[in-house]
Amino acid sequence: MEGSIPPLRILIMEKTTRRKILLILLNQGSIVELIKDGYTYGQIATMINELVAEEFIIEIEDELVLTAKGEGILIESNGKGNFKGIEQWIVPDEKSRSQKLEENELYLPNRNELHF
Amino acid sequence: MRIKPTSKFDVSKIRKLNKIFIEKGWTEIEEYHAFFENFCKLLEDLDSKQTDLLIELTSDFLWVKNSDYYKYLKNTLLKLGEYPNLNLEHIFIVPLLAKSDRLNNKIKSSTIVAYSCQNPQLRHVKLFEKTKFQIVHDINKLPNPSKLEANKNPIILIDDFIGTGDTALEGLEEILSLKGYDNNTLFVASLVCQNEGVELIKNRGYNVLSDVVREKGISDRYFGSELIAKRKIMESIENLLAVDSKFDLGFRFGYKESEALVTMIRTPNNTFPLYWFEAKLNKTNKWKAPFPR
Repeated sequence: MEGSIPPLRILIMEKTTRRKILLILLNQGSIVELIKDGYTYGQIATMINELVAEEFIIEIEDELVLTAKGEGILIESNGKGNFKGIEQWIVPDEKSRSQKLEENELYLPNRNELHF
Repeated sequence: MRIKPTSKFDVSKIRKLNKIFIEKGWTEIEEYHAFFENFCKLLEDLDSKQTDLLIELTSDFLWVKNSDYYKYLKNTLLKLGEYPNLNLEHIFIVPLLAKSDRLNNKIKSSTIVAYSCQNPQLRHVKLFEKTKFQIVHDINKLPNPSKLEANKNPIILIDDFIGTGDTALEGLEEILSLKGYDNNTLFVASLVCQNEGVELIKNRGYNVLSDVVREKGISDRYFGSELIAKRKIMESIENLLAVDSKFDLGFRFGYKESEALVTMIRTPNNTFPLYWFEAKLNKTNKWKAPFPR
């Protein structure tokens, strides 16, 4: 909802989100994909702080870079065959995943919840 | 029409801003979550040079919260220890007010600071073990200069913040016009002061007690071509605020260009207006000032 702030989630960072942050950092991208996922700036900052604390990311003179451990996570998830081809760079859009529908069931997505 | 989310933040920048908030203890405040959110949204409306300047200035920003007042007050009053000839058994405390505010019995933050001098904790500070702090609202009831000179008890004109020093000087002149105390007994005190305010009072011949003395946020921090560039960036941010017809151009760079980076219980108008002026940017959007007045 415009203008209101969603309640703080208990931040158990999903692996997909972790992968997404690491990829954003690797490609020097914007955090907009995380905002689309519904995270607030405060939650994003907290998750980044956690990734620094867990040594997936290191801070060098105010700039963040991936550590070997961080790079390893990306390579590992790709190497396991979980992500192939373009999936190595595009993170699955978990929030858009919906329950399987019956064959003749109608589905009208809420336009405000779509971000593509 | 749905609004497509955008963000100029990269991972490093949001971490940098969050680190500043953590270092300043701002993550501990009750409303931190919304406060940080609004601050980030404010930065989203700025270009990268404006964002960098605002982050730099914010890292230098002093926010003295209500709960911090005692510590700042104690440190301010402890400066009396530098004047060994004083008799600290009786200290007269006068809230610093402009004459018009005093006549209208207006409650200002100086009244709160004056009352805080009766905080029982102060009696546990060695210098003030035997001190009686007497708050005086009616300056006509202050003791005569001859009596004070004999007893060596100080009178302290107190406030939480001194900016240009104009109000402090006005209050000082009002007392001096009634009773000509010398600078051995009459002092101006403030928890936080801008340096130019301190100089103004000192030039009038009186001493200022203060815990923190602050320089101008841009003019005293940058030099040469960098100073010119930073001033231009600040002007460009203030031009965004000036879209609102209520934006008083006299407050550019703060009242009388004080360039303060301070918030006390209230935000002084000496602080750069982007921190406190809630400009109406258009029909639906308002500038989310972090420390509105």
